[in-house]
Amino acid sequence: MANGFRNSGSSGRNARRRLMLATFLAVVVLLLNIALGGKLSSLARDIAAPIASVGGKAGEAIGANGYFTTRGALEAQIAALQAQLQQEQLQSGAYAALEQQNQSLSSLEHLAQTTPGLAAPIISSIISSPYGTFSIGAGSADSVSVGSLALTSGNFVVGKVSQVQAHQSLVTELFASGQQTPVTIDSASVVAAGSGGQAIAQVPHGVTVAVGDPVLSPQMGNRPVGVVQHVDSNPANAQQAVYVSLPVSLSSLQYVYVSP
Amino acid sequence: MNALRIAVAVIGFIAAIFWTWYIPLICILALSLRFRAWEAIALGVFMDLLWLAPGAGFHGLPLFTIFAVLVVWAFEPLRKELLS
Repeated sequence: MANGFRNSGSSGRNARRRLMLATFLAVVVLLLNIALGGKLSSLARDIAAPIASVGGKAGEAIGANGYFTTRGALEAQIAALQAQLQQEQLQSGAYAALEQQNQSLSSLEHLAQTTPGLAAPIISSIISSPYGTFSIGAGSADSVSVGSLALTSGNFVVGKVSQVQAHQSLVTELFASGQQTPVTIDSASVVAAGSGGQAIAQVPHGVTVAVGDPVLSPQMGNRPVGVVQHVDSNPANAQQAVYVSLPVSLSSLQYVYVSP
Repeated sequence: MNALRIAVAVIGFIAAIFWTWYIPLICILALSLRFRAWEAIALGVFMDLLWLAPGAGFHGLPLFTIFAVLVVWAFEPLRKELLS
């Protein structure tokens, strides 16, 4: 019994030593990552990207298996109808945004100008990141640079490239928690504070804001960054809270257009 | 018990790549509650290396690593009291 007590004491001390070593190594790894300019992060994403790709394909194969046909068929129908609805909302929002751009007086804008850039696949899960980031399959070899904009097919800005590797990049969503984006809503210049998937802007009561109004970003070439989803205009508050989100689900996107 | 520890750690690492971020969070909590789990800290570091961009999160701080370290060490007195 004495040996048992001694053994449990020594194993506890060993476990504690391992924990202290793990804590020390965690700090060293993170500091090293910062010192190396994110090379360890790049390595981690290089390891995770093919795993995510293989896992995604395996998931699709399992879903297409006949065993789950009935449930799968219903889910596919639901997904198709949701995608159709989102596409119509996107087109409606894009039209309103383009119409507003057309009305604003800018001698430098040419309606027929083609936006330079390239289409990049989204190669990571959208929902896994707690920081509102995701990876795309284009990098410095494709002329992608930090600060490049990631756009949907309707020219809505999804996010900005924040880290670039040779063949993949990390994009930070515009509406990630803590992100502040200067925007204009019905000609009012306000700041949209990201809260994960949507943003909230405080707009003075004198400004008339309606659901569906496009939200533009002057910093990003007056491109649309979302549409108004809800307006909380309680007169007891000094300002009205306007909730902004993209008219398309990020999870449904497979490609984004990256523009410098 | 070791099998459970390994299983929770594996779920956490897989979820870091595929699933919602709160699943690795729950795995870190579960591991820390029961074990002096160095893999909980490793999972936190992995999440931050994978997803943290400069300037993202709370002033660019590695929140998952900080959370894992705090939780693992915060549960140490509880583990010593209940499990020894």
